[in-house]
Amino acid sequence: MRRVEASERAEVTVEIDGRRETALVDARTNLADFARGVGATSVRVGCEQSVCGRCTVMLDDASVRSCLVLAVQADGSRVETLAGIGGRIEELRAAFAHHFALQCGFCASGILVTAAEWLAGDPVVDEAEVRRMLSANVCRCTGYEGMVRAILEVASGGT
Amino acid sequence: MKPAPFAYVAPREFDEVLEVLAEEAGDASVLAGGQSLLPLMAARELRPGVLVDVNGVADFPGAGESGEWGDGCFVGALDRQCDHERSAEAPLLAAALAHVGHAQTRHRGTVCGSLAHGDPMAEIPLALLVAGGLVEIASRGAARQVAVDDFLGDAFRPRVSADEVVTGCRWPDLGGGSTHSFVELQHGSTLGAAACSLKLSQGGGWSLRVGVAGFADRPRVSVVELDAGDLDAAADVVGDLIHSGPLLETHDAQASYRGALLGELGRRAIAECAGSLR
Repeated sequence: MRRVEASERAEVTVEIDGRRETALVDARTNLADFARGVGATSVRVGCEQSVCGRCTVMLDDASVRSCLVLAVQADGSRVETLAGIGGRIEELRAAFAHHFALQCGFCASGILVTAAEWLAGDPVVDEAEVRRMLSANVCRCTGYEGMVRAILEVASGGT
Repeated sequence: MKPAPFAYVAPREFDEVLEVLAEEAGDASVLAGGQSLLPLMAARELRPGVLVDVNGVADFPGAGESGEWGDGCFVGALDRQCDHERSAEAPLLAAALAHVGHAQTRHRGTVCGSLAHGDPMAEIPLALLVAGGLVEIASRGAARQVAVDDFLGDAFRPRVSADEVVTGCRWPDLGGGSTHSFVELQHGSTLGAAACSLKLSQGGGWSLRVGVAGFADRPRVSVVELDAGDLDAAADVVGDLIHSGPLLETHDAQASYRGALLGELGRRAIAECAGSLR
């Protein structure tokens, strides 16, 4: 039974984007901070309480809020960030650029990871579904219109 | 913000979970999905001294180990919300989950964790209440089953002791031909929700189960027999439920608004069930 005291640090190893990364962390260190600390800086930290979606990553093939997973919980797991997820991410990037879907870009990595997982799940493709999917992520700049157009375009196969 | 420092324990065996909870004497919190607990810890609203991560426990008890389990769908301690989004066995749970969080939180959040968290606005406790379900609870040397109505206490304080852990919940089979609905209004957070299950009784009337959340410290349910098609009487059942005590008043919804909102949500939930009744 693993036990990490409040005053202790624990060694945690996670495969991030194909690299094995090890660091010493507090029990309270979340996976988002762990990822950034080992160089996976496409992971952004926003609200740290599950609202904003900035820190979305794939953990063992399912999207999660990495602010709500402790690094010690992810020991031995596999994580893909925007930098390593593959799939239709290049199509999404091109469509986002074409539709001016981003402004400051701080939400981009969370939104692109969310959209890539949604596309891979054989979704019902309509605007309402895209907006429902995007509701997991907050963008304070754009009003989402360009994102909706870009994602619909990729989902319906055209670019 | 970051949580206050805590010790982290990750038992591999169920008996170890019960040992740790017994020994830590009220200073420990169980970490399942963490999708409600960890945000509250980050906001420093909760500061458990010990976090007991049960995600690696391989031998949680299954259905019926603490008594007669009967029919229906058993949802275990580590069943994720996403596991039951399309459940045909627990249709009220599936209907409720359409309103719970986002894909990212449902991948980790557990059904039993939501029950143990005890948010009076939460969808899963309301749905289990309308389904007439049971909660299974264990502590060192003991296990018990409790009707969800008795399990739900005041807001965020379900009736579980500090040394107990929720090990499962049962969603009864509500019978062939029954229809189900779950409606909700969110503005940032959930303002109100209504859940309904309706079927034709043997005498040809309506067997109605309807519940609402968002008006008090806990959700409430009514189970009644009505003349078939009597939507007005059904709406009165909801009205009586809402006005059975003082209405909750918050910064974003005064009591009169909550009453009107929940009455409307109840009517819509019942109408949706009636519309799909064969």
